[in-house]
Amino acid sequence: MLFSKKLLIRRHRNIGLSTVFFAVAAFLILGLYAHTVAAEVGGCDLKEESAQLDALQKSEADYIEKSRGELQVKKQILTKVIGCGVKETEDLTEKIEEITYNEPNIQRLKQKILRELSSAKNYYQIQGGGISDLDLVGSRNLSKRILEWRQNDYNLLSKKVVGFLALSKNQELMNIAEKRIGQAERLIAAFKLYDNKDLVRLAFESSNYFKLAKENGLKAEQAFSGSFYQPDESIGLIKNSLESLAVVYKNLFDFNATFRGLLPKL
Amino acid sequence: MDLLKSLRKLNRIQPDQEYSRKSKLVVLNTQQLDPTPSVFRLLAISSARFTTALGIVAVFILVVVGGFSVNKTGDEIISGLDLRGLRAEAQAIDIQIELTRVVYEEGDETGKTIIVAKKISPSTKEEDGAIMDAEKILEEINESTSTEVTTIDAILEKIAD
Repeated sequence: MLFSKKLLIRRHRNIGLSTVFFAVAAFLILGLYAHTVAAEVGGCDLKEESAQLDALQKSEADYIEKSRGELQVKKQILTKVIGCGVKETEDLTEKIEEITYNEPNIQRLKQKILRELSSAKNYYQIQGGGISDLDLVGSRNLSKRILEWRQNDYNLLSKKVVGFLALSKNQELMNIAEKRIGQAERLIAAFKLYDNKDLVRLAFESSNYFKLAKENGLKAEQAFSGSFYQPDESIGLIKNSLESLAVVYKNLFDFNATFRGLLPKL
Repeated sequence: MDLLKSLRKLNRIQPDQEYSRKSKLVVLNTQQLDPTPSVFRLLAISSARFTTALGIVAVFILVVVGGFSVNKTGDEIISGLDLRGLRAEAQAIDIQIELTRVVYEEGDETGKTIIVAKKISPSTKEEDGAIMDAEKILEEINESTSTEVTTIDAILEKIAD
């Protein structure tokens, strides 16, 4: 009887320990996931601050107390927003600086975008300068101002950054694709396979789609350097260029398979 | 028979003793040329040897390098069949298509556009190690901008209300 009671206590203790262990593990895993997501948004997940604001607005404290608390939280949020905005511009600047493509036009565009990013960073810093002196109306106005700026000017700049990065990447991928087409053509020449209609057609089609990719790439580059920059237009052109490159590679895969089939006969 | 006898006689012919002695003396008294070659001559000989060796080495190098360059051309041609490389490049293109599509279709969300910008790697070196597939990248973008995350724009909208 006593023995079974001891056994029961030990079993309960084990269950308790296991529960604590699993709870700690789950907490760590969830924490790690949240950290990963937060890191992905540049450490700018403002979920906690948002919940804090909600709780304050729903609280039954008196008006003055509530307003004072609300202002304090809003100032904290705005300070974090400015910090996150500055970090965003720094991250984008770093990305643009990674571009090593030496084509003069690309380099000129690179410098232009870097200047615009520097101005955006200055904008955030200037807006953040007066946060400590804000009242509730001022905090609302500042939020509205930053939001409108982000939705118009900054959104355009961020699209420009994406377009420019994609353009540069597209140029690089086109250079690689051009070499691949050259290799396919050299294979035909080296093994004198001019009579093989499939191989010749695949190489020819690859070359044609490559030309199309290049044309759209050039148009996208021109769209960038124009005075009235239309990000959607240039991004659309880069997308088309990339889609043509994807067809080039489809043909190259078919070419590869056809050539491999011929290898035992060569 | 007479002929044979004559030949045997010829076999017994010996030089005159006096003539033999004088000839020997003349030969031994003749001035000998200096057997040790001059420095210039030595230099010329060694230089000729060196040039020959150099020539042989140069020909050897040419043959070896020539052989390699022939192989290189062959490798270059066969590298057109490098399936792994082709796949990696095609995958990089797919990723770029998806990233530009996101911005083209949903680019009004500034936060999303910025996350897409961070996903574009301008150099292919970064992708050599581990290329992620387009689906995984899209999944990550959607996670980062899901309703689970309060973005800068979302919180600003809340305060501006």
